[in-house]
Amino acid sequence: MIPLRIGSRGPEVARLQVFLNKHLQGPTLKVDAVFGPRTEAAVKRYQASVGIGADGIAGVKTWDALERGVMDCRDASHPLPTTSHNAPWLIVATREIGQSELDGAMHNPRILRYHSTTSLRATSDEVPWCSAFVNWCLRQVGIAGTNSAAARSWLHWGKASVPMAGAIAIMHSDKGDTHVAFSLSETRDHFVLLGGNQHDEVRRSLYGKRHWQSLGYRWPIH
Amino acid sequence: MFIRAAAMTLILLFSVTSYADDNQEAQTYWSRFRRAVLDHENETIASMTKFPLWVRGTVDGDPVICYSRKDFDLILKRLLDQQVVVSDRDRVEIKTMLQVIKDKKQLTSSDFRAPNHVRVELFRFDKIKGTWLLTRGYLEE
Repeated sequence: MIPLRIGSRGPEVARLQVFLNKHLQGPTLKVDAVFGPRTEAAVKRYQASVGIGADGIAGVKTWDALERGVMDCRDASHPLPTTSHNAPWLIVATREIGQSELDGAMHNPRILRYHSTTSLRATSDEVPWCSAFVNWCLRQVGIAGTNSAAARSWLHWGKASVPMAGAIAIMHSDKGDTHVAFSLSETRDHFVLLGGNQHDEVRRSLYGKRHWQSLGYRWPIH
Repeated sequence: MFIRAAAMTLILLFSVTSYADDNQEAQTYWSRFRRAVLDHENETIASMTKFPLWVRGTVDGDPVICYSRKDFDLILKRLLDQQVVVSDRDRVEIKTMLQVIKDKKQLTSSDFRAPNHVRVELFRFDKIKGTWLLTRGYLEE
């Protein structure tokens, strides 16, 4: 990839300008395929917002971040992706938000349905159910998952993916916990995931990069 | 057509009114709780909290820490200052819990996980012996 800088011209510059307009707040850049001072300023602003050295040159790291959809979400008004056109399982997962563990001897029947998609077939909503939730969501759109209750079972499932909305994210914490959920986005400080057994329910959660690292992202093989 | 529309409106109004009646106590509690949070009245918030307060991180493996009234002010600040992902119609945003509480004037049916159990993002409230209380706080990290 040829780095784009001030003076560059052509369709790749136009593509860059479209990406910048998508990912940045504030004035919209004119998509004229000319890398001028305004495009350079926008590149610097984007680089700074996502923690890349702000040199105003769209090189490998900048393109990678733009194509992965990395956005600066410190601005509370900046919308995060809610779904992905090619990940119908995200729509299924979103509909489940709010399904929550119940107290004591009672178990949420919906969570037991999630459990029924794994070989463990747990009968309690106290048994970790993040992997069961991913299996269940995929099954609803006709995709066979790992059928395992273990988050790590997803490490070699499907094919490797970049971190993008809908990808299955396998996470590991510095305390030794492993978790699996659907990736929504990534900010400078957080992974944004939609999953089950996040604070005892299905919800969107932030996983701080100080304590969590991704072990991999996977995508179904259609 | 008009009669059908009117009937549908009446049914809808009846459902909403019924729901509001059923959950009026929770709404009254929430309004007081919200006001106390926005006014930084920690004593009032504490009086609406079950002690020891159960606090845990994201995953089951995170340790549960129970806070007494003595340590409540500090953990309350941490719980309110933390960022959470929230959705409002088609928008998904990151806000602090304080902002979530500020923006949430009314409880909705989706906040009720069970008849006596309400979740507002990372705060959990339960009706215990006829009284609504803050019973759990979750931390994002």
